[in-house]
Amino acid sequence: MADLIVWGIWISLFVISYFVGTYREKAHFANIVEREKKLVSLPALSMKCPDDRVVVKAELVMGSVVIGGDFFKQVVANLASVFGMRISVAEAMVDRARREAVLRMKEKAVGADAILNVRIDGLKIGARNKITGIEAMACGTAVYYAK
Amino acid sequence: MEITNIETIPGKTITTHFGLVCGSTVRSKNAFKDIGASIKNMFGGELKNYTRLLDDTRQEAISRMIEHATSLGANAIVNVRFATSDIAAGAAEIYIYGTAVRVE
Repeated sequence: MADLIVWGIWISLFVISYFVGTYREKAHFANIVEREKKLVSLPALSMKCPDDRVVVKAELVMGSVVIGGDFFKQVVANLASVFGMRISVAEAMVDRARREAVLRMKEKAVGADAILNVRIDGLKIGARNKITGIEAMACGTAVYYAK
Repeated sequence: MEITNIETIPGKTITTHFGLVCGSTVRSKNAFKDIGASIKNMFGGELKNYTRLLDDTRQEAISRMIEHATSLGANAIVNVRFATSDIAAGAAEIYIYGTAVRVE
């Protein structure tokens, strides 16, 4: 009987976390796409040299975010790591984290004309065999050209 | 203090190099806040506590680097790099380093 209850909780958690996690992921992706469209005029480049124009100001900008994995993802990732498969749920998670980090960095560079030398760095949070969360950090040099 | 992660400060010339300056901080998570995070972790989404924690940690590391550079008499830091490492379960080190210079 007790086993049945434990399994019941486990399965309902698995199903609920799948639906809630997917819903939130979709909402987040929609939000990212919308903000990316708004900030498309501010390019984030991986080049180091600014254009041949007079730069009035340059500063370091960065943005970071920690995205947590849900219960469903952890179970799927554990299963997939047995068979050596591509873990698409984790791919979506890191993609989301990186794009959000770049967006936050762009949002901090208000009025800048370009962001040079953008680097994206990451950190895994949690125990070795679990995906508790993924941190993504983007940093670059925002340059302001003379008008 | 001007900080960039490219080799120069655009529009200015570097007159003196002071060598490498660095700042680091080691922070651990708050076990009480972690309870909230673990509940949130069931359903995914952003973990705002962790975001804030890492952000604060980076700011602190940067201000330590700036302190180091100011003590040398520099007025800018170029080529800044970030490094992170897990040193223990639940603790992370953030290490920031760059080249202190004087620009005109």
